[in-house]
Amino acid sequence: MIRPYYSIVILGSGIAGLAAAKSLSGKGLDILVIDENTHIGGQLLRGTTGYISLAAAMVSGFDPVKTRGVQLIRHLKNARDIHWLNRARVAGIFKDRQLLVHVDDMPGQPGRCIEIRAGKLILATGARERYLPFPGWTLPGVLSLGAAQILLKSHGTLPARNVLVAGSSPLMAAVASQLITGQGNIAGIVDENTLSDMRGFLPLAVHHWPKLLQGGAYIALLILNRVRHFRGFRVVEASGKEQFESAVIARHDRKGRIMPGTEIRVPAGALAIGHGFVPNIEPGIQAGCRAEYHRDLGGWIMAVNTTQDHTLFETSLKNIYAVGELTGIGGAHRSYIQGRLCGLSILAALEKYPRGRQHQRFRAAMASLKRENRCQNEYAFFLNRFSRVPDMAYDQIPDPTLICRCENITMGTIRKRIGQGFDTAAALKKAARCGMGRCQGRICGPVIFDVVSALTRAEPESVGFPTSRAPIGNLAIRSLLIPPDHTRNK
Amino acid sequence: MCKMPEQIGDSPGTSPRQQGQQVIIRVDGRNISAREGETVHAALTAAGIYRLRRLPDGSARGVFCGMGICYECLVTIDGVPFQRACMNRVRGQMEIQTRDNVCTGGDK
Amino acid sequence: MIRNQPHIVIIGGGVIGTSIAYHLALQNSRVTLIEQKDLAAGSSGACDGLVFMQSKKPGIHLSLAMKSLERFISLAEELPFDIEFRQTGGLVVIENNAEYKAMEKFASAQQEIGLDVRLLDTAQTLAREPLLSPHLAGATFSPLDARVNPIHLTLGLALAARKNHARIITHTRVLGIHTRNNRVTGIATTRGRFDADILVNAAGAMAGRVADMAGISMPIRPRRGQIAVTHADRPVLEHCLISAKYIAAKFDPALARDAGQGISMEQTENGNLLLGSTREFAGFDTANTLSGIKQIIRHTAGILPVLEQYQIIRTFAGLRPFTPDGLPLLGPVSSLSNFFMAAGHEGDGIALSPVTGLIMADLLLKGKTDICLDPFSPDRFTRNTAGTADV
Repeated sequence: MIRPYYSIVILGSGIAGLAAAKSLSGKGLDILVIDENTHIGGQLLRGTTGYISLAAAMVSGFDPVKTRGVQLIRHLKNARDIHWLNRARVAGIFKDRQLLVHVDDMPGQPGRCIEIRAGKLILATGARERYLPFPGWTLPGVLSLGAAQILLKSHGTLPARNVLVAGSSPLMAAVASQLITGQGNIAGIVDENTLSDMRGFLPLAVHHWPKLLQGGAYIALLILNRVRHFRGFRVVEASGKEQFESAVIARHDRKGRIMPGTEIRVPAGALAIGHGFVPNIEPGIQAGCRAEYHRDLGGWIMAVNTTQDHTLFETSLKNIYAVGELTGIGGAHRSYIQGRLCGLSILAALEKYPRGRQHQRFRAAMASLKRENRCQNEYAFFLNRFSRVPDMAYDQIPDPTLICRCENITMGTIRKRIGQGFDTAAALKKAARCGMGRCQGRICGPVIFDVVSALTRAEPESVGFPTSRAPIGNLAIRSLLIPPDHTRNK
Repeated sequence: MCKMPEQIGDSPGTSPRQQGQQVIIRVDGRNISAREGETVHAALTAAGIYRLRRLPDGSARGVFCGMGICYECLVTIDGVPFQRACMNRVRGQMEIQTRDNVCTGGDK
Repeated sequence: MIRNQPHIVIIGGGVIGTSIAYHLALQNSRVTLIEQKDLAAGSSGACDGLVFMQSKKPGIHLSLAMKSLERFISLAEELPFDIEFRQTGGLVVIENNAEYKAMEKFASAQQEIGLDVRLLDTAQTLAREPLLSPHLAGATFSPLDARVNPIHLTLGLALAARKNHARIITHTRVLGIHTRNNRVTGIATTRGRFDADILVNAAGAMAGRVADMAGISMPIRPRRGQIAVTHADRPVLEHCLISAKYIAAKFDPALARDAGQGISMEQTENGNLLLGSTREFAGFDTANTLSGIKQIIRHTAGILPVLEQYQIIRTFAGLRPFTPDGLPLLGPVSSLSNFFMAAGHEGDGIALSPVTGLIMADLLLKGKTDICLDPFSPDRFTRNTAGTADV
């Protein structure tokens, strides 16, 4: 049964949320972990059940964080002080951390809303993908790399028999290898980057050797399977009658400009795309937490304290914390460290740390995690620079391309409005309606921010701070009309 | 081929793909076999169904983000409209409608 | 633009400020509009688009609204944005018999002065709007009522003003007001000084703060209105809707308790339903509250049960500029020469924006207006006339 108050509420059961729960569990606190998915573990630990090839098993074997995540779940799943609320999502964070939580009981039902107050609230909502739009990206069959990965990992379903993989994301290699494992055919990998863009990783290799091995294993797998790799290419158009049938890809120069005459048409049954990641900061923004812009950490991130031991990862609002990808896109290991650190810091603030000699060990553990966190930031910078699309690429988007998928707003409309002086994210939203639809700009918002930045060359703060209002995600009115009943849970 | 030693990341009481029972669901009046517990997205993809709705201008849309953010994959499930195919789990006898699923919103 | 014309500076890039700028620019005057954020960043971008006639008290308030309505029809043709002005007709929904009695009186008073208002019983109400709850006691209907897209209206007015050579300067905050010999000389802003022969305070809910800079006290208070937005859908609501609670209270003090509980509903051109609205004094806080959202949803779903099948995609809140007598402050201020107020419209800002621009332009350029502005004089509240000096 869900209670109306928990001393700790963690949003997101990914690696960061799990790590925070691990630090806080067993200390006499009552912890609630809320996750929208059916499973615990977030995107990284999404059901890798069933039969997979030896090669893929080896690849994931190189990932120590994943192994640690599996252990965390096993360890925490039955902890008495942790309550798991899956298929639930926080639609709003209000004054004094009063949470409006939407719970889905049955498929195809509107669900119901409950209210829960959090003593301390840890945001660990992870990241979503970033996209570089092109004509035809709204066709059925064009899907995100994440969507393809979920089909493959959770359901063992191929997005199509023949899949084209494209973008600038580290997920491309993962999706490609999962396609091979699932005995699908890869029509090709259309890679924004060239091999020389990888050089930035070399100085980091000493500290991040598991990632090097993992990357190496992926590449070997692709070579072994003779996958066509178009490096320095970009999808310039997707076409098909009722669904995706083929893509035109073209080479681009160092600055990101398409080189005419290099176009190749590649037929496929599906096209999986992604251009890196954006932190899911909307819950924090809606709550009123401050954001800051850090280009090499994925754009707008949650501003958190990183110095005072008693308030590590606390946002600008007291008792609300943000960890993992929310403080910068940096991968699972960084998320783990931050979750652990945030939990320990809360223990320190609540004076729940051990006394005497044990106290020294507690301090030492914190100090070492803080060092590791700094080290992980270097990798984060590389990751974001690597997946970043050059500004010029936004200049190249043709006018008929839809930018806001929900409201059907084209690049042409956006260009026209910017030309009329509506040259901030907020002004553009009013003048062009972009970001006003069902997704509330969670897909097009980062794109529009980058488009405006690229076209106006203005500072991020002038282009505009991110905004978010309740509800986070659409909320069925019926779910709000059902009287709250805490006893019906579990 | 080998089986992974651990079943990772599934909360108590849910059924991953391999344990999901084979069930029949109806999509626009057509019978389709699916596994209980998998997402509607997965079931429809396995059946080769990509177009899930139309805009008033006639253009087709399907699953995009696959993780509940973009709201592109709205279908009618058991008579309840605007359900995300990527977030809803299959149950036996489920009725899914993608036809006549017109949502408004357009360039001004 | 003629050099020796007075330079008019307007503070506030909302619907009132842009309307005044446009109407002044139409007559070739020298106009500069200063906005601290984006155009329509305040209440004009966070409100519904109702243009109600039958909610106005017969008298000066109603005649102002009627003149505004006339101007809307021509604006729809003139402005470079589709302002989505539609004369859909409006319903004032009546939820109980006490309200029905009060509305009976109100409607007959309106009919006496020739306003086209009809009192409907439940069946007649449902005949007009079949998806409304059968539990309603009835409604009053007027074919005059309309709706408009308030954001497009504001942006359209601004673009049209600019086309007629008004200067529109956004992202510029006013820091102070320069005066000499009890006369406005200019303003200090984050982008330096602007000389002004005439200064117009159209800062909406912020107008009190702007007046403070000139040492003038104006009783404008921010009153928060929260609104919820549903997903876009095919047409389900033809008319604009408000509830009788708020109007009935004016005629029957026994109903005053519920006056603040009224709702408003409209379906926009895009298909979204706008569900409003709370009326709260919460300072300058534009946050949405859980209780506010729940109150709106419960009340509107009671009146339009089909809402149960809808989803909320967004909420927002705007600060309506409240005045103690519910009338705006329009005109000069006796304590400071060349300082004009055009603010305090509370919930009528959108509806009254065309006429406000029209008469303020007349007032500033000709010194007289068709409509007697005495009831709107900002001096009607002014108690203190603090001395002003050059800053």
